[in-house]
Amino acid sequence: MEIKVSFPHMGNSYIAFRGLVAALGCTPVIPDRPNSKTVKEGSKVSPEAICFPFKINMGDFLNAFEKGTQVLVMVTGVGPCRFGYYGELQEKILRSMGYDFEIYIINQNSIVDIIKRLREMLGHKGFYRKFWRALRTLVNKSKTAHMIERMARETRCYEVNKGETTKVMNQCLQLVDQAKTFREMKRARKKAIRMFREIQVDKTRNPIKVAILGEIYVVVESSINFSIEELLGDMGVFVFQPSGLYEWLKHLVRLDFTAKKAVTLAKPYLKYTTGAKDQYTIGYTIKCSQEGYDGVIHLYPFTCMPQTMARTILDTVSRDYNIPVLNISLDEHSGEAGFLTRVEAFIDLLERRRVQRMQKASLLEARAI
Amino acid sequence: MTTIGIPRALLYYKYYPLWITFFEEIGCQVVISRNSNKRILDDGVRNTLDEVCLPCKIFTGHTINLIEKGVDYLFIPRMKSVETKKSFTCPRLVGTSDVIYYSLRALNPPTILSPYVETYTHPLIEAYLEVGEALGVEKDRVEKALAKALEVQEKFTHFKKKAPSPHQIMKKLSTVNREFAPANIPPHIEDEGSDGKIKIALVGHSYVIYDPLISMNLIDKLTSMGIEVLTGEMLPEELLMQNYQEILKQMHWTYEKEILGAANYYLKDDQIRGLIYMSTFACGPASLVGEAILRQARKHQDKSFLALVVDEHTGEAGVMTRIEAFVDMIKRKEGAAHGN
Ligand code: SF4
Ligand code: SF4
Repeated sequence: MEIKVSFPHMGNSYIAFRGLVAALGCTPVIPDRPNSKTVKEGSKVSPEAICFPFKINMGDFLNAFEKGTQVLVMVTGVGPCRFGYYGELQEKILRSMGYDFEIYIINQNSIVDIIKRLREMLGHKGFYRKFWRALRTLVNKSKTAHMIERMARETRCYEVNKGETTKVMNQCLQLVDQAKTFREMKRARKKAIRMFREIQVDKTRNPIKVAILGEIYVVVESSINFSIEELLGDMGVFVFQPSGLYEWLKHLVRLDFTAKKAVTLAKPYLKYTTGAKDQYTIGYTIKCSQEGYDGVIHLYPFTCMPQTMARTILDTVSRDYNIPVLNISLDEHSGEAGFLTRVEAFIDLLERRRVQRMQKASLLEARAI
Repeated sequence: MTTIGIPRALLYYKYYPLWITFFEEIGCQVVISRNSNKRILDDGVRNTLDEVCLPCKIFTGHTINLIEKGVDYLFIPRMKSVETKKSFTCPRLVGTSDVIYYSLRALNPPTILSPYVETYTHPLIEAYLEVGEALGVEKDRVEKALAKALEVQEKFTHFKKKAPSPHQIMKKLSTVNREFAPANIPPHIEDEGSDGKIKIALVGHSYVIYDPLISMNLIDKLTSMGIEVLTGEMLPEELLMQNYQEILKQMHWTYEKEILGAANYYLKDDQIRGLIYMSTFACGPASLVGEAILRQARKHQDKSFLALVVDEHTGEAGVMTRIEAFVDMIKRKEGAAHGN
C-alpha cells in the first residue's frame, strides 16, 4: 500500500526530508511553497496570538491534506519555548476539523517511540537497514543543500550577469533533490561546485557585508522573509546566515562548534539561554562585528519570546560593538513594500557609514604624511 | 543595613514569603516596590519593547520604582526550572534580569543579584549560596536562612489552600506584610460559609489575577457581585498535576501545568458554574494554553467560559461589561435550572 507522508516547509529542508521519506519506502508529499493562501488559511485555523511559524505549518498541513496525505511528520523541540508544543496543539486543531490522519511528532523524548511506530507501519523486515539509509540521506542532502545555499550567498554579490547565481542555485538544488543513490548525491555535489565556479564574477568589488540573524524559521523560509538573501545579493550585498537544517542537525549531536563559540561571546550579555537561539543572535552579532561586517539584520516572528529579549539586549551590543542592527518582526500582516523600504534604507545607511569611515581614514593618512 | 529591592511583580506573587524571609534571616532589609499603579505601568511601558507581555512591562516599572528608592541590590533570580524533573518556567523569566539590566542601564541600576535556579540539575541551595557569597554571608547562615525561608513558604502555600476566598490571598499580597515572617504565621482562617453563592473559578498566572492593576481588581469585582471566586492556588498541587494532562499531554512549563490542571479540575467540578481564564496579550504560553483550555471548555456545555485577554490599552469599562454579561448569563442559566 502506498503511504503518503508530508511535513511542513522550512526553507529548503524539504529536499532532505523528501529523501528521508522516500528512503523509508513511503511517498513524500510536498506542500506548495508557502504562499499567501498558505498564510491566510493557516492563520484562520490557528490561535490568533500564536507565533507566526505555527500558522504557516498549519497552512502547509491543510495543503498536504488537499494532496491526499495520510501521515504528517512534525519535528518539534522539548525546549522551553512554544515550539515544543506546536505538534500537540496542531494535531488537536486538525482533528477537531474532522481530518483523519496519523502524526509523528518528533522530539528528543519521543524518538524511541517513533522508531517503534515506524517499524510497525513499515514492517519489521530489513527495517533498521532502511532506517539507517534514510538518516544518512537526510544528513547527506541537508549538508549539500547547505553548501549550495552558502555558495549562493557568497557569490551573488559578485556576479556579473544579474540573476545567474539564483538560477544556478535552483538548478543545483534540483539536482540534489533528484539524486536517489548516494553515488548520485555525491555527483550532484561535485557538479554544484563546478557550476558555481563557472559563474562569472567580479572579485574587485568590495561589497557591503551583512549577517541575517534571528529566529531560525523566518530567517530560513524565503517565502516568508521576502527572499531577503536574494534581495540583498541582488543589491550587491554579501550575506552571512548561519542557521538551517544542517546546522540544527549538527547542534543535535553537539558538533556545532562555531555556534558554540558564538554562545561564549554572548554570555557576558545573556548568561543563560532563555529557550531558543537568543544567544546565537547576540553572539553572532559580536562575531560579525569583530570580523568586519557592516551590519546585522535581525528577523523574528512578532512577539517571539527569545528573540524579543535578544532584541532588547542587542541595542546595547550594537552600541558596544559599533555595528548597526535592523530589527524586523514578521507576521501575517507584514507587507512587502514596507519591508523593502526598511531594508533598502538600512543598506543605504551602511554604505554611507562606510564612505564616512574611509574618508576619516584617508584624512588621518593625509595628516600622517 | 544592606537593602535588597524586590519588584512586586511576576514571581513575587508566588515566592515572596521565601524571598523576604531569606533576606531578613541573613540580616538584610527588604524593600518591596509599591503596589502597581498608573505611574509604574507608564514607566514600564516606556522602557520595555512593545511586543513584550504586560507583566514584564509592569515588572520594569516596579524595578524603576526600586531604583528610585535607592536600594543597594535588586533581587531578580533567573528562574529556569522549579521542579525536580525536567521542566521549565517561561523563557522570559529566565532572561528578565539581563533584559532589565540592559534596558535600564541609563538609570544606573544597582547590582542585580540574579542566581540561576534550575532545580532539576542544581539543588536550590546553590542558587542561594551564590547570593550569600555576593553579599559576604557565611555558608552556615545561608543554609539556615534558606531552611527557614522554605518553611515559611510552605506555610504560605498552606494558607492559600485554606483561604476561604482569593480575596484574602490578594490582601496578603498587596499589603507589604510581614505576616509570613517566621515569628508571625497568621492564624488559620475559618471558612465563612458560602452557601447559596454562585461559584466561579478564575485561573491564570498569579501575577496576573492578583495584581490589582493588571486584573483590574477582578476578584473584588466578582465578589461584590455576590460571586464566590475560586482560584488555582486554592487547590492542592497534586490535584493540579493529576489534571493538566487531560488537556495537553506534553507540558513542560510548570506554571502552565498548574493553570491547565486548575482549569480542568474546575471544569469537572459540579459546584462550579463558570470558568474565567485571564491572560495578557503577547504572553507566549497563553497563546497555546488559552486555545487548549477553550477547546476543553467546549466539551463541558454545562459550564460558561470566558477568556479575558488584557494589555495596557484594555479599557476597564469594556472588561466590566463582559464580566457583567458573563455573570448575568450564569445567573439566568441558574434560574432556568431551578425552574423560575
Ligand atoms: S522561538 Fe519564537 S517563534 Fe519559535 S516557538 Fe519560540 S516564540 Fe515561537
Ligand atoms: S508566562 Fe506569559 S505573562 Fe508570564 S512572563 Fe511569560 S510571556 Fe509573560
